[in-house]
Amino acid sequence: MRTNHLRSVAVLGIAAAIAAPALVACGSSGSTSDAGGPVTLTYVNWDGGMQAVVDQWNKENPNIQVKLSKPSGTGYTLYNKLITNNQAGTNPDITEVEYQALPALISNKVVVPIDQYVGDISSQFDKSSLAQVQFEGHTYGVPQNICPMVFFYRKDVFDQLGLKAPTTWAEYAADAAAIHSHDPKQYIGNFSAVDSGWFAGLAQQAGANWWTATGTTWHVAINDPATTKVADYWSNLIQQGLVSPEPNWSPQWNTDMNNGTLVGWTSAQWAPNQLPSIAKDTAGKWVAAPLPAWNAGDQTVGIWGGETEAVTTNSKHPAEAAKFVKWMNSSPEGVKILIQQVDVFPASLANQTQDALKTPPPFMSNQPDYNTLMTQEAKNVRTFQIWGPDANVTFDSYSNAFASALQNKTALSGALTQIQDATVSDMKQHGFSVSG
Amino acid sequence: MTAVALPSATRPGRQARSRINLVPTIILVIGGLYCVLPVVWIVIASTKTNSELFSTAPFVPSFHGGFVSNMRALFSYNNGIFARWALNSVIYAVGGAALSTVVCGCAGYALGKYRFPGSVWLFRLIVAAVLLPQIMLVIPQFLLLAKFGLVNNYASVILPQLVSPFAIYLCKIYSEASVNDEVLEAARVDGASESRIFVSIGARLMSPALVTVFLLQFIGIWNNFLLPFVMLNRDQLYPLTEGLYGLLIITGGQAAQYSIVVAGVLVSIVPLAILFLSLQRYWRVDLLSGGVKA
Amino acid sequence: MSTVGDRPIASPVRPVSGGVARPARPARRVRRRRRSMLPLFLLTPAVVLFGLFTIAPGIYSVWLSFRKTQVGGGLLGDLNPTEIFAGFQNYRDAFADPEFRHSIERMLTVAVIGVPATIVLATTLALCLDAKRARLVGIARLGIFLPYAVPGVVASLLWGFIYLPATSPIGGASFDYLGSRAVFFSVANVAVWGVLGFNMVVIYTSLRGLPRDLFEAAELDGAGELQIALRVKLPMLAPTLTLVTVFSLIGALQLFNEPTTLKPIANAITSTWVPLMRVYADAFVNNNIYQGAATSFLLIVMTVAATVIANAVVRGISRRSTR
Repeated sequence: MRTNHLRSVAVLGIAAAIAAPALVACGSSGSTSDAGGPVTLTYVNWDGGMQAVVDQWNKENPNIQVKLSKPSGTGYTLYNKLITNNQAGTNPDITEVEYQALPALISNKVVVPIDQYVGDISSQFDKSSLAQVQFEGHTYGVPQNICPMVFFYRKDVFDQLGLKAPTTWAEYAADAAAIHSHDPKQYIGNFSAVDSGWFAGLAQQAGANWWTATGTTWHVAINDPATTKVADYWSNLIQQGLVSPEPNWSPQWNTDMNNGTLVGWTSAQWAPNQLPSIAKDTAGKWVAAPLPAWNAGDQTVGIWGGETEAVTTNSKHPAEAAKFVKWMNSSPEGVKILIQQVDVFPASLANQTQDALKTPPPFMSNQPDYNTLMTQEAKNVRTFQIWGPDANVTFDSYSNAFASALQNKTALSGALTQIQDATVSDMKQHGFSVSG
Repeated sequence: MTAVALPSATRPGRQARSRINLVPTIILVIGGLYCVLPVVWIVIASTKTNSELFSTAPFVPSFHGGFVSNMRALFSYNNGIFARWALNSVIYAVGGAALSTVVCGCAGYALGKYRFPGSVWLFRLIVAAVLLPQIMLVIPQFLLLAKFGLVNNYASVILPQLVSPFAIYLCKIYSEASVNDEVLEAARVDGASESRIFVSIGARLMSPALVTVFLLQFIGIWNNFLLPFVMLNRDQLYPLTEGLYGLLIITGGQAAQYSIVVAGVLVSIVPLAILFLSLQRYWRVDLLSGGVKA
Repeated sequence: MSTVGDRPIASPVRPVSGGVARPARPARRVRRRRRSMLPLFLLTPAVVLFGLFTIAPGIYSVWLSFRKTQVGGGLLGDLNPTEIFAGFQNYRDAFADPEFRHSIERMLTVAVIGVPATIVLATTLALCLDAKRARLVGIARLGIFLPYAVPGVVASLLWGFIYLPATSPIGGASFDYLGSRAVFFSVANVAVWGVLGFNMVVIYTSLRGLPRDLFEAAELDGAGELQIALRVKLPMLAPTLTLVTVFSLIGALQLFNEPTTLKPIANAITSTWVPLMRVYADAFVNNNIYQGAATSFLLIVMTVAATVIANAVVRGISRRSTR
């Protein structure tokens, strides 16, 4: 018995030793091509439905084949991996990157400018979209989508309570009180202490500019009056217990959305893409309305989310990669599939009138003019002038500071100061010049 | 026991010899339940569909075909990449554990059966490495392998896990305890070479320790998340841990599919559990405690 | 020292002392023939791998802790990023950061709950396994050992579902297991759950190795089972308990998997809740491996100090109780 074990262990060991070199050879990275033969590009993206986009491209471009891969982390976990792997040269050719993270990737030389490949795209996008991908005269991506923030609510519940969709934040607070007093277990929405992008969008609506740049000097103002106003407003609602403290996408929050505990969601354009797996049983009951405003009649809204594709420094075929990016995010064909399969609302102006947008996302079948509303909201978008080079530190600090403020029941504006300090000190530490 | 009769008052539990000893039994049952509870929960949860997961009672399984649909969804997710992840886990764990057993077994034997200048200090150094948290080492390991272009492949995940201080420790103390010097000496007198002695006598006598090391390393590598996470950039190479984690994290367009994750978790636990149960007899955990006295 | 003079030359196969395996005496072998190269050969793979994957990265990590990056010119600093010497700045930043101190406090809180719980529960269960006429021993042992097969991340996921109000089978709807006070116990619970079986088996096998005649003697003297367990078995387990305590302590100081996995569902857990999470955030999210390296090194120093202290304390206690 013992001998058998020993032998089998030895055999396994030897087999593994022999196999190892083969396994080493199995791994490869980045793009490949034979001389003059087809080019294979690797593309990492975490959105569902992207395979259809890639398949269509591959069908039409036999010489430039794109291979889609899902990362094992999203957001900053992915970006950080890209930064680390940059040195090893193993990054994919093309990566999805959210607008707020692009400066950080540029700063770390992970992505390259693609002006020479995509040409002048300024006529195809509005100013705020262009501002997300252009820095110091170079273009680093082709904006994929605009995600204006939108207010979703359960019309059936509102009707029952005789409430209308709030048009101002004052009305929102009043509605919150009405809903909650009618049923202490119901809320008009939640305050998410983990979604910094969400809060940034609200700050944008209020007129904030967390980062501004003059020449090569940065100015950071996260705890400016506009943002503080937003923080105080929500502090007030939280203190009165009128909003749920559950973070978005937590299982508890999922349940609450599905069973009518939450009857509203301050979200963004892409919500109908997410809602089926959040609140399947409520399909067709939600209605989208413009986000409440600070002043009646003001239609400005901020954004939450939105991304572009970028070409990495490691890519051996930047020209082909950029070609794919441009096709995907600005050609009628590419954008059509994005709309249909990924529920994107395109940033590309010409494509905002596509027929595909005439049908609402399946979850909003009760609101046929959903995309018309989006088109209108997209025109009202206001974003930060620029995203800071260490937005990840800001966002990380956000979730810590706001989460403990919620836990300790302290004012959210105190958290803002923490975030401000963390951001500034990190930038200074890295040698950026920061004024004030 | 003893023929001397003693007042039974001083001997609680002595009254009926065949009666079960209640207190320890109850404690053991509670302990067992506590440990098994979450696993039972996951088995039951895997029978539910996504919406049932949050709406039905936790310990009541569902028989509406949820299990089958979950498994189907799991294995068809993203063109069947889950099966690939499972295969990868097997490759990493079996290959890594086997190689590791060889490496650590040899080293343990050398340290245990031979004395040479520096052997004690070498051993202490190796064992001290237990203090280094994996997080601290992982990125430098990555940077090192990147210099040789050895990242993003199977070797990058297997190589760093081959040397386990704990495994070397086990093999060393076991070889000291169970590989009899007299037997070795006799073989030497008979004219056998050292390597012949090692292979046919030493390694054979060490085999319980080797099996234990194999199992420990298998579990360690199977469960390892951080190392593959850093080393690998292609989803075709991910092991189950990394794949499942990504599955849970990926939002935006495909919000967390808990029921698939639940199914994935179940599938990733099952092989280990079976391995345990079937190889239970060969566990020699007494080596750990015995080594303390050595 | 010659091999001939060491001990009486006995018959080749029969062990000298008659059956009980003893730890081998380190035997100096000065051979009449050439010294064997085998040990060198056997050790080389391990030493090379150890050097490459433990020593080298360890040293590199310490070196990194004294460096940092500086961005180059340009607004986004991409013109020429460089790595420069930073002296002790990373360490100073760690100490100066109140969040770091809090993370240590939180980690210690979980440790103070989890380590004694592990030891006490594992010892109790081991003693129960050893008790006379206890039933269901085999199956209990199996069940208790099962969590060891579950990866840490997965275990936290499991318990996460159990704590969640929506899916909790243990009343999570009425009691907030992830609230700011309870969260420490909840995190400790997951950790304890994972290692209980392993520690129990270690202690149990050690228990089985104790000479049973002492127990029988005590029983003859009229000691009850409980008394025997506490007064006789326990003190004799001291070395094993020390080992188990030290390893548990090291594990507690390296707490990471459980809070990280529970973080998405627990508002109370921040991204730097325990020191290793801070290291992870620095290294894997904030692209600051330098700070991460410095913090890890501090953690290691603390771990060494803690294990030395723990060792001394447990030895002291056990020595006193055997008197």
